[in-house]
Amino acid sequence: MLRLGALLLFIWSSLAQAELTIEITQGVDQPVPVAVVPFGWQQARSLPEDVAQIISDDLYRSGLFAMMNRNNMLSFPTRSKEVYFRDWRLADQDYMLIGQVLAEADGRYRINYELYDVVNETRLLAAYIKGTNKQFRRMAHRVADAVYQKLTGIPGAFATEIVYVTAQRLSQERYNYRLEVSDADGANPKVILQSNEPILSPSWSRDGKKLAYVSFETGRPAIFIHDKLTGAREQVTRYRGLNGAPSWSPDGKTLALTLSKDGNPEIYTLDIASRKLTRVTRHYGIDTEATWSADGKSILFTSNRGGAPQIYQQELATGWVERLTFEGDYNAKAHLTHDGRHLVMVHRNRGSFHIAVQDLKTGRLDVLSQTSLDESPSIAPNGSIVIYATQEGDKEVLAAVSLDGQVKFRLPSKSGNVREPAWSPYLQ
Amino acid sequence: MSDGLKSYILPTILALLFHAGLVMLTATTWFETEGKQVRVTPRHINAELVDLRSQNKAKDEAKRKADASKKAAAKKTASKKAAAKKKAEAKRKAKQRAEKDKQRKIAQKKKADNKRKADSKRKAEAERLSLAKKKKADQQKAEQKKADQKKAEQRKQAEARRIADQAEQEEKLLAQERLRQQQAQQQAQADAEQAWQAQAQQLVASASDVIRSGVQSQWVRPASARNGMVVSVRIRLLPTGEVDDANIFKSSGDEAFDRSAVKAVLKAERFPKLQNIDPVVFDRYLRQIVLEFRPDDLRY
Amino acid sequence: MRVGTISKAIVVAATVAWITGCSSTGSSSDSSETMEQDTQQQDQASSSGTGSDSSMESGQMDHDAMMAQKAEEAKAALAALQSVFYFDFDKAVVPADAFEDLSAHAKYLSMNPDARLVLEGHADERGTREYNMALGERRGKAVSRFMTVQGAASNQIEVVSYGEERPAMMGHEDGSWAKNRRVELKYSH
Repeated sequence: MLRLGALLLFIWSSLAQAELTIEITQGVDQPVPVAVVPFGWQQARSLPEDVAQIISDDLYRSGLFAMMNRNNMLSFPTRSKEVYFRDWRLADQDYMLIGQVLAEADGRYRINYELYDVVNETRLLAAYIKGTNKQFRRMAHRVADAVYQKLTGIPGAFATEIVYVTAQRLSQERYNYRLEVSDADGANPKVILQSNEPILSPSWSRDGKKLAYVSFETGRPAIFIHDKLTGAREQVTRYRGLNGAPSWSPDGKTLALTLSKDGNPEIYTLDIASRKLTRVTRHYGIDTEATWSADGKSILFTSNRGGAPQIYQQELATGWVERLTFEGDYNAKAHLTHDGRHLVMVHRNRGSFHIAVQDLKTGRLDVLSQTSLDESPSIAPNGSIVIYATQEGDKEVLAAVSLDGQVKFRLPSKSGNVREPAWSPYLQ
Repeated sequence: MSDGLKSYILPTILALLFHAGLVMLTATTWFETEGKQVRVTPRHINAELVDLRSQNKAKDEAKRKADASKKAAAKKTASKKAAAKKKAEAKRKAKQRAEKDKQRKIAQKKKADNKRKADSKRKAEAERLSLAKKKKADQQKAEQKKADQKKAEQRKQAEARRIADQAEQEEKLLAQERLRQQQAQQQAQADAEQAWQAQAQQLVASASDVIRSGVQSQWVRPASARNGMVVSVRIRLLPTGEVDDANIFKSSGDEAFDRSAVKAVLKAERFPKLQNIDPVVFDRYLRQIVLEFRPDDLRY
Repeated sequence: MRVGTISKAIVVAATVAWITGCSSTGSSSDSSETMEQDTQQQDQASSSGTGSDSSMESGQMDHDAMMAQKAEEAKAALAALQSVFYFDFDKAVVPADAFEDLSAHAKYLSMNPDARLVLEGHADERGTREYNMALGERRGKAVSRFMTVQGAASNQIEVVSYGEERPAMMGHEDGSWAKNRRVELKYSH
């Protein structure tokens, strides 16, 4: 009787689960088609910026999207009731963004925007953003951030900035160095410092309000802190020998840096408020290029204590040191992704220098860049893209590669050599 | 001293042997359980599922039929048994009646005898001898009659039994023949069902391939996708092969990932090859299906 | 004269031994370090006589004139010396062919206590900038150590590393890189 009952139950359950299940384990990696329709603007005078174009360029540069050419658009809807999904679906678009710019009574501007799923015929986003005449680019980047997050599941990092160094050789002995900050798309470059002596190793504070860098303007290397808001700057180190590789702690109170005042290049931490210096490493080899773990409890650095430069991690409280990299005979200038899982660094592979990423969980190392003499990797705050410096002919340029190696692109080239990019954190 | 040492040797050896045995014992048990725990996960669970279900169905069908025929056979033997029982009952009753009659007759005869006895008392002694002779003859006659009767009855019963046995035998043969026929019919039916199932399975498998490749070619994973994420999408198909509807059946928890799966189905739009599939197969297996999106080719 | 030569040879030998000792505590486990040792001693021994001994002879001159002449001669001798010294990739070992001229520079410093020397350490463009900055300094310090043992005072010498920031050659091939891995001596009078 019991067995019969079990049998019946089995039959019943197998009937209830009668649906066929098909497993889909593979897909294609191709850009998703998106149409960014020119935003509406009712007044005669023209706007200082083409908001839709900035958004479209941002999305395009991520490598994840294929942007629809405006010339192929049959209509320019700016409101939901003007959207005919079928038209856009016939144009093979997956998503579309529409919007309008409105002048507010207080002289500011308001950008309304709506994101649609053309295939599903649903609205995914409807929002607005306000700003001044001078903030159009920033507003556009913010819209791009929102769209990117909706479509990829990852926050956008378009409304961020990049600091970098440019160098121009004027004659055999004369150089012009500049420390510049620009939007993440290279627009709005602003010169922070100009010098005939080298400038290097710019580093962002985690709140994006301050920069630390090394300048040789005194004839010797020294570390300076620049306040972005006030423009004020101060010299924080002037030790004999090396003063280099500043790196802000996650809480913004401490700088890790490299000094050789005690003989060898060692890592120290400098409490910015009290100027108290604490020595971290103690080794006759080279220890430099410090960067912090996400919790601020340990420091990762480059050291040649094993014979060749490799990445090590040292716990600040205990002094416990662990070697992190083993593949290849040159691994340097490491950065951790914000989730602490991946180590991005300069890696020498068969004699040439590339950007590589090591999965600290699995130990797997992937070489991301195929360009030459690649250095100074810096990770976007959303962890999607690594920006780095590379050589193109006789010129130093900036390039970027996605952390999965799928997307690669060059940043627009400027005059002179561009080097040592550092991506800002999310900015308020 | 050496005695003390010697006295330790034997226990030590015993203890060592015991421990070694214990280790081997536990080791083998561990290895065995570990061996048993090895589980091979089939790569295409879906196909297995289809097989299993259809096979079960066929099995169930056969079992149900077998049960029915068994039941019918049981019923038949039961009714046969009942008939036999009835017959035996009747036989028994007849016997009882005959016995009663006999007794009644004996009683009557006794009465007559008593009467005759009284008469003879009253009559002359001379008659006694002849009377006794007669009585004896009567008695003999009666006994003879009784024996004859009994024999006849026995003969009759044996005959009846023979006839009944014959009938039963014939009936049995007939039933066997019927059962054989029935089984043959069932077998033919089961064979047909199995053939259909096999064909259906093949059709479903090829349809699955069509759907899989159609959807995979449209599936663009978002940046948030990671290996190991799973989203199930239930889709309804029209007999034309068109996608009628697609809905999240079990979310991955990642909105962009979920949407990419639904979009892949909607963009695949239709699977024209499904039109040619047997409508019964389509109806039973393909009208509503579940797609499980589970990327395994991503970097992370 | 003979005694002087011998004592110089001993000093040089001691210097090389000391530097080798220092280097071997360093990271580079290059076997060439120890290989170079013997040839250096020979080089130094043979060349030490030609240094600046001529100044010893002019005992009759008056003091100022003597000093002036001495300075002139020393400067002239200095100008004839090599002031750029080259290094192997990722190495900070003072190369063999630098010993002679570096000894002469050291001698000049020891005889001119007011003279100040900046050792500019450089690296080629390969590798990271800050690591190269450290490497440049290591090279400068290796030279500085050699010279202080040779008689220069440590407060006369300053090491400034420029890493890969100031290449001598702009090319991106072995030839240019070899010229960029260097230490430059610059006097500040």
